[in-house]
Amino acid sequence: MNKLQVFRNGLIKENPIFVQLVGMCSALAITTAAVNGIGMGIAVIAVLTGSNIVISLLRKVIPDEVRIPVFVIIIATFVTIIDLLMHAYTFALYQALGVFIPLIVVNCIILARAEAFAFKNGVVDSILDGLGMGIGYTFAITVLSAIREIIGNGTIFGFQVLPEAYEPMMIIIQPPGAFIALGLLIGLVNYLTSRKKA
Amino acid sequence: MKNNMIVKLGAVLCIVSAIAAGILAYTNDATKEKIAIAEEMASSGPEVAQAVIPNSATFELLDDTALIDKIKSENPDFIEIRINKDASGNQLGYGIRTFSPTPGYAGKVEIFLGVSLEGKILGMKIVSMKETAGLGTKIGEPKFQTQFLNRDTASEIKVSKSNPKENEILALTGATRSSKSFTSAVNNAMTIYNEYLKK
Repeated sequence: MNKLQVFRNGLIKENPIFVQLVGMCSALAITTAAVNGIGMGIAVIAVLTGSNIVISLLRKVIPDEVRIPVFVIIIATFVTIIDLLMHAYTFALYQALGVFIPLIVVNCIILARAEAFAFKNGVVDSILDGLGMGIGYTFAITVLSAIREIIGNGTIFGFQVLPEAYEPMMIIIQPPGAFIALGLLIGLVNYLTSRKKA
Repeated sequence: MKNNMIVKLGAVLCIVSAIAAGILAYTNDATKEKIAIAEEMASSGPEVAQAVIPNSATFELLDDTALIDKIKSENPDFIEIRINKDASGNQLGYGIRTFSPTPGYAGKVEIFLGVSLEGKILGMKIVSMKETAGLGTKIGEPKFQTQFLNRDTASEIKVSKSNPKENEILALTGATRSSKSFTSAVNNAMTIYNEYLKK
């Protein structure tokens, strides 16, 4: 597998949200405003790339029997660092994302990439995989949150895009709306990819 | 599993944890001050002072310990009082910080309410809340908050779902509980003003 392919895999073909359906908890919960999507995405890219690098470097040292606990410790360390940094430097975003930053620890994308990729591949490939998957995740949740923000609030990134007369469709901002919007998006992606194959 | 295997695995886990703990201790140390400043700025920085009472230059804590302790013992949701002064040192009013006695959709809402020396509401700012993003969080937007401006602290504010009367404000569509919670915080701050600060 060449390097570019490793990177591109996460974007569409194996997109964590649209295709692998991992990391759903945060994708459903925080995608009420487009800015949250980007912020969460950047946090995940940082954690994912960081943990991929460290796990790939340590893959020959970590005994197979305890690899999962070691992964969890490494991931939790990165998440806590990101949590502290965001708390110190991007306070508004930190407040908006709330409990979902610490919960990146249990975001299955990160453990899945550690187990399925970083533990078996070199450092460079693991970085590319982390970036690719992270950007794919960011892209997916930003699209989802932009759609929910436009329909549910009439704005995008806080700017009014729909006329004031438009009565926002509240349900799209609420939890059921997350499932509806995500379901329709996945359907659309599946339709597009299956047409491409045929 | 042989005994030395258990020791080996335990040792690996121990080393990994120790290194992680060290890195975290370092990060915590490096960000501690920044976080304290960010928290301070977000809860009572210049931006908050301006939102609470426009043209505020200073926003100092009221340090009348006896009074503060008295309010705290009688009003469990009360947090603190700050004094807003303009650039030439004239007092503009009080910033009263309180939780909402009535919880919102997810816990209590914490606000600063700005009250002039004549007992009129001059401004307000939400310090913390856990309301639903994009729905309950609209209680933080000017569109909702301007309804409270210039009201007199003498009469309690009530929440209405349609056609608000004289002493009522219009609740946000789909976020009545958040609106009620915010209003209860405003009312509580007004009560504190009336009972302890009004001259």
